[in-house]
Amino acid sequence: MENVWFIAFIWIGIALAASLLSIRLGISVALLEIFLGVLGGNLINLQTTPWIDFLASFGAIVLTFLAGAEIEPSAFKRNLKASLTIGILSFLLPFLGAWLFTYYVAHWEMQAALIAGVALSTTSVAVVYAVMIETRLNETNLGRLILAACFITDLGTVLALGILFSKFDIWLLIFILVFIPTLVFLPKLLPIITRRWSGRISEPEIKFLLLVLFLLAWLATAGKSEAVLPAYLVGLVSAGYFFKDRTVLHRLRVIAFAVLTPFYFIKAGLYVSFPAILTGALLILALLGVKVAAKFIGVYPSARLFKFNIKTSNYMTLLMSTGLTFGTISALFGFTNNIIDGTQYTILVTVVLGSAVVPTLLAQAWFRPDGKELEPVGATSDEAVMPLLEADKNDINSGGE
Amino acid sequence: MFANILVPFDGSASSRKAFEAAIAIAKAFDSKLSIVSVEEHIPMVAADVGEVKEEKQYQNGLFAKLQREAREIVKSHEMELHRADILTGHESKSIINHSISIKSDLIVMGHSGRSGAWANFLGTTAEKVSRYAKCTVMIVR
Repeated sequence: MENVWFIAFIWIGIALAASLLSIRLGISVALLEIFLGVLGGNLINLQTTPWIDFLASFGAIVLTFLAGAEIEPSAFKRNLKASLTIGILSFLLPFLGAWLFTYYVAHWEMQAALIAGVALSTTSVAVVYAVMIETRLNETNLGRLILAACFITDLGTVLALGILFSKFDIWLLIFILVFIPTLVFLPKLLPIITRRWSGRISEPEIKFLLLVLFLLAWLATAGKSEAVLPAYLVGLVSAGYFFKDRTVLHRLRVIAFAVLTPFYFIKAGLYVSFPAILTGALLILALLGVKVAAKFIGVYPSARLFKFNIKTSNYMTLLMSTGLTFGTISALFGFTNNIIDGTQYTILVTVVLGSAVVPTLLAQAWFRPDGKELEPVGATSDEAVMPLLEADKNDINSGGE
Repeated sequence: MFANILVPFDGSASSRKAFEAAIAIAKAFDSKLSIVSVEEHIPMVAADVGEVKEEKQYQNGLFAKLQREAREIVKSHEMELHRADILTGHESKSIINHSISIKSDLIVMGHSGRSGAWANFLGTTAEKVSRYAKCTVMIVR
């Protein structure tokens, strides 16, 4: 497979098959790309090349940026205390649980165990959001609070990934010196740039965004950090602007989903080994249990503390136990930097995929909230939060569910 | 006999046949006629929130167009649609819950819509609705 066009033909053929299957079966294209990647790696010994590695990393950076840019800043501010508490605990407990479990019980190396902690600390905002639109929970205050908490959890994940494996040298200092002013000035620059250049076929505003992302990715990786950390934070600080004008996000997403993320997800599946799934089946189940249990220890009490009823607290906890994009990004970072081996990668990615599906199904089947929680909320803080908390209080008083 | 008829309408040939049958029944019994379209294929395990939002937007557009078409068909029979709803979620569950919430006493639906490949393993939506609905179900072939 030396010819570059033949390799491109195979990879884009797999990506097309995943898209068509996704439309036919109603399953996410990302999941199918990973699945076809697993088949490709195990059955036809599909390999990556340097240019595929670049496209895959580029895809991960854009995907992370898009993930950060989807936060609704007003919802976050409105539920600051609750979303911060739930989000931080939702990151911290699974991180500690998976790290300590893989270190002390599975006897992984310290660095590999840290990768396990980071990979399993995540919450998939996209999975949570998809579940919510079915019940229209995304239009309620509870839904917005859960989503804001998910963003905090993912922020914890990217910070851990960015900081824990960094080399504290001059490059890290340069990265910080460039990164902080970028976070401050980018939200002010974006409206000016798009006002002046948007709508042109040469897409200068997208190129400008990519320029910023590439600069930060270069400095972050030179400091042995992970390129997704700056991408996610750049997304977060730009979210306020993109919430009002989604054109650039839409165009960037089209580019990403057509030619970048397929390479990332197929590559993520490529290194998953069937024999390792079989030999590691017990550990996979145990880690899935650790992740969900740690989310329950972290999220459930804080949800109850904020006066959500038992059913809603279970629902919130299970939704926050889901994971996909950041979990695979963390595992792939560990694998490509030789922090974890192929077997450990297989175990982590399988647990991440399991966590995308199992908690979602459980939440949907048994804990879907109804009644007051589903009423659309008003715009102001007190009006929005108080009726919800009062309604929950009534439920608690009457013995919950 | 039937006061409130509900037609699950997904634009498939089968659902169009069912719709025509429902119009005839509604005319005969002077019933209220409603349609419901269910967006079933929103990706549940998505990579990015925007992926879900954009797929939902695409399906909203698709079903809004279908419902406009349904209104035109009904108008051509000199009738009015009582209501037209677009829901998101599990198709048969959504249809059954919706029929209960709008108190329909007859569901008229095609035998196979866009259930796709899953129908071969899990049964068609019509099979599930006919099994679990609280009202009379008519399946049109």
